[in-house]
Amino acid sequence: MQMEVKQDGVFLQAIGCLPPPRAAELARLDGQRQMEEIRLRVGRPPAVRTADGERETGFAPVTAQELRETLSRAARYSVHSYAESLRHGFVTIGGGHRLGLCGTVAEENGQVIGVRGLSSVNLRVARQVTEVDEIIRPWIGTERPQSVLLLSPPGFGKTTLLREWVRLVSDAGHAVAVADERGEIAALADGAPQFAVGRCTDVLENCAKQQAALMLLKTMSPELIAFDEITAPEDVEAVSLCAHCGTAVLASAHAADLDDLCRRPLYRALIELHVFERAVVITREEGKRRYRMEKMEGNLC
Amino acid sequence: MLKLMGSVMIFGACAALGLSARQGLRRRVTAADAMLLALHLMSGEISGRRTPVPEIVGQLAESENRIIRTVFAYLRRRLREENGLSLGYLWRSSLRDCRDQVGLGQPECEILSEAAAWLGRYDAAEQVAGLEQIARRLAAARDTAAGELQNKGNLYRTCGIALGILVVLVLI
Repeated sequence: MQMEVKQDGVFLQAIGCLPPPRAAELARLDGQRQMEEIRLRVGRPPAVRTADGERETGFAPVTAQELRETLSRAARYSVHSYAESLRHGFVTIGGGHRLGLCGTVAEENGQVIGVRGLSSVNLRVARQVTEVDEIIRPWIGTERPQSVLLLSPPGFGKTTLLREWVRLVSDAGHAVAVADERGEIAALADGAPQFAVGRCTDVLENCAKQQAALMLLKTMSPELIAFDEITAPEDVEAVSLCAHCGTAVLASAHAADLDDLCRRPLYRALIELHVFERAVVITREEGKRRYRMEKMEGNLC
Repeated sequence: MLKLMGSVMIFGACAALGLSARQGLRRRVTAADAMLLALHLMSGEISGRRTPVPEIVGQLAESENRIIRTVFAYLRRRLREENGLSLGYLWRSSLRDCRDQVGLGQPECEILSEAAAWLGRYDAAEQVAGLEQIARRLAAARDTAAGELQNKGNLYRTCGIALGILVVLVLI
């Protein structure tokens, strides 16, 4: 007798960008709620990644044509609308899910203009995880929002934590502005966020952080401004801009811990601004995420 | 009495034949005008707001213009079917399926179908340049159709009426 698969709406929404036969195949997989990523590599069967690691499915190998079609569908047949994110090798789809691209890069004047000849894609499933509320609520408190930096290696849930932090601060009645450059924090659809980001939250999507910071500060008077993934000097500029206007900053960065953060010149510049009062470090132990609060005082580096 | 009724019917049929040929030419010009307007709106949305193609199709499907509304509502429905077919195929097949209904001429339909090769596949500037090229060729085809309407439209109508009179006279 065949067991009935418990389907997960978020997972089904994410795989909606895949060609219909492949999506139908993956919709039959068990344990959908635990799936964090779907990896499609040309010539290999699709693989799924959970907190325990990656495993291949027993389905037919992925073809190059399938990846091309996946990209077309994810970009809604509108390369012009996603040109900027394609330059950075990803497309954010409805629901905040992210399709990362690998293959042969197309360049012009030394600048990446896109990825052609796709070899693999990584579909990262975005979920609202409210379980962290109990852990972070005491750190947030009820006073004026403080500046906090969220740290972890990729795929540990920085964006998810940032989203929950924003929601809790916002629901406490503080005006929060989100510079959602990649559309992954709020995932706006027809102007409405598809994730709960709080009742006092304003979202500016698809805008570079520095520009977004200027616009939000001028127009929305936020008490807290949130940025996801500080990765460039311009992003550090954006943080500096907010901090020197009296607005608290919530941001995330790729680093295993504070020591790791100090090793990178970009982040040393960020620390030297003395904007952040605390850092939350996300680690993974035995397949479970752990959250640790650390104070950022004095000369860390 | 029967003879009179028969004569009226024959005359009416022949005149209608001529008038419908003229009307066909008129509809062809109107359809080309409507599609030129649609192309202009598409260019504006792509260059000015980087609107995704499905959203542009949705906007045009709500257009005041009956021809634009018919073509793009059909395309929107096909896009929503999620049948795994490419946008290019859906674009071409929608034009082909709606051609008779909106009165679009065969040459104009073929010109518009060529947009399928690059629509939604390239950066905004390249798409706008392509749409403008399509618009120029469509405008030329529209002018040809308008010329035909001017030169042959009245001829078709007059021939139809004359044929009706001739047949009636012969039969009487």
